[in-house]
Amino acid sequence: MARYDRIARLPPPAREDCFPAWLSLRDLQDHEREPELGRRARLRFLALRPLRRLLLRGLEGTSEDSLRLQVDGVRDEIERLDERDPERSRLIDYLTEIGGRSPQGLVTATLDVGAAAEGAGHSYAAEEFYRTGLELAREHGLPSQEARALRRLARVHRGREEWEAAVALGREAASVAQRAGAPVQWAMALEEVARAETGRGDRARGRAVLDEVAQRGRAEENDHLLAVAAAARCALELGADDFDLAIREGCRAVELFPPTDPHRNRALLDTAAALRRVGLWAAAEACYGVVETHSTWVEHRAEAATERAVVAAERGDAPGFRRRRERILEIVDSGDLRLRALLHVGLGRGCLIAGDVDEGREHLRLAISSARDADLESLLVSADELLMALERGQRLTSPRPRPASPESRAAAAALQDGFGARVTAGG
Amino acid sequence: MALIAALLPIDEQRKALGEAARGHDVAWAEDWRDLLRLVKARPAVAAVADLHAERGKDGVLRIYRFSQRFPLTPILVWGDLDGRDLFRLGKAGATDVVPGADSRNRLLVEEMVVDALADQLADRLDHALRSRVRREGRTMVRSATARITEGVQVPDLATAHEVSVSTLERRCEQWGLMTPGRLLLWLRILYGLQWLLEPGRSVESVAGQLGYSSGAAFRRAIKATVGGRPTPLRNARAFESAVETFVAECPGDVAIRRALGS
Repeated sequence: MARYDRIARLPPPAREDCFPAWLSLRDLQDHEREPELGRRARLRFLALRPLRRLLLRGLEGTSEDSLRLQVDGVRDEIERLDERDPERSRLIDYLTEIGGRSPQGLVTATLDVGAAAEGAGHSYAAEEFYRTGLELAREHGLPSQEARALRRLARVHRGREEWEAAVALGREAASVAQRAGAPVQWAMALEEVARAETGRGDRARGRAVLDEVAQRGRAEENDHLLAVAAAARCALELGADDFDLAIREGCRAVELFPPTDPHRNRALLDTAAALRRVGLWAAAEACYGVVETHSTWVEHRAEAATERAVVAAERGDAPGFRRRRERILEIVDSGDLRLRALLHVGLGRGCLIAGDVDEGREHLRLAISSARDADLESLLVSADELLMALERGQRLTSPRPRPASPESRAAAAALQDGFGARVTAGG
Repeated sequence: MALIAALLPIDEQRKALGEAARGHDVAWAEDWRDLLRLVKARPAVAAVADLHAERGKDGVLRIYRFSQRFPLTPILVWGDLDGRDLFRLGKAGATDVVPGADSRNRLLVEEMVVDALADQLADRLDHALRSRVRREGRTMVRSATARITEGVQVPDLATAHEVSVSTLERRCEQWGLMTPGRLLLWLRILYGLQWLLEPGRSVESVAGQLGYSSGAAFRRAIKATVGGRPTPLRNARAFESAVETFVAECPGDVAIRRALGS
């Protein structure tokens, strides 16, 4: 035991002081005896190695046969993963791209695997994939991909509350996107900066950054930039408890984003959250309904379905909540731990509001187990707090809504009319 | 030809390393303790070890001890490595890993051995001499650094360049280098000082590896080239300064200096 502790006590080394791709294993810190996480971390590490060697030695210095053997070896192991595993197909696509050696496709695939790792709550694995994608994009002169990698890195650092790094990377992403002539990428990079500024407690600076995006959107008459700024502002004001402003900005973003843009769904979810806080439940449910029906992202659909069920509980419609919960449970068997944790926390909260204590306890235990496995700190804290409240015998009540301003009521009505019109127009 | 110290108990592993490191010497260690002893006693420039070489011993802890004693000597770790092993090896200071299937990929192992054997001091000297010494001279320095652990002497260098000792001396002057004898003395000192930056090496063992009769003889040679104060032994700053003094002592090629306007 003493010998084991000797290594465990060592601080994790910096990325540049360690062998290539080691950072992808760093999510094992304090979890090194968890076999599932260890297996996954090893697969990611092995998948990254051929690409890291390509970057280190260049195409000329790398034997094609050796590369093929490495890739085939990892592919064999990855194919043994559960077919429902969301990372499996992305890793296989990524390995195929290494074989193809098309820089553009390879960077995209590398960033995609990073996103899957990030979605599973493994921020260091995500960082290693994003950094590798970034190096590759720079090596091959792909500025748009470079900006994307930088922005995702900023998001990873923000998630770890490393605000300085998040702001710096977001700014760098914006400047690369600006040079590449990619205004939407630029706006999204600044959105990341605004989120980091807000996260570290400087909402004023966050608003100022978003104003910069909106200003450019107005000057260039670019609706997409205006939509990005409004959606980010909605999230910011929601966090600041200014629900009327959040609703106004959220409705604006929903109106400006093209219906197929996945960011529109995020804006709808945030707007719905603000609508609930001022008691405009019908409008909130309509927003969730749109996301649940139309989003192509399973995370968005799951969040919308869960929150929609919880709204029923908040409105005092316990049977309605139970019906919706049953439907969600049919789809909850997902290999994605983050998704499972998210669903169970939401349903646990709904059960507590509806007075279904036993079911609530079960949901929260499942949420805690999934959040712990995926190292999802914020979800773990939420689930722990709810479970503690339950064990203390506290009845969870829905938050008392604030009175909605006439502007919010009008915006909500317009939003619902818009959905109705779209549904009618769509047939 | 470089010397690799290796702790690989399985024949298949030994064969794989032997093939990948063709052209280099491999000294086989019996156990972890022997590996440390080998690197201390002989001029090994890299080490290779199977993490599970000794049953019941925590291989990662051994790698950690190795990297603490020999922080400048690369160590490649072989074996069936699970996620936890890999994670801990990074913390322990392994230079790189050759997990399971990769050890059967001869080309990959060959590349990794080449990377591990990269002589950073030789690269650094080559870079520093670029503005003073012409290419042929730098090639000669390279060939001398590659054989410094073999106890290379001036006649060996002359033979390698297919010239007489006096011709080699003349050419060194033309290329802007110091005399071949002085060059070899300097290179022995620089390599010795670099090795001594590793806590696992002693003055006596380094002196022996470089062909000196004793630690005292090595100390005298250091004093005659680098000077004695502050002590250049186990002193990173003094080592940097020794590299600079070596470069400055090379007279430099007249044509290059003229071209550079100095």
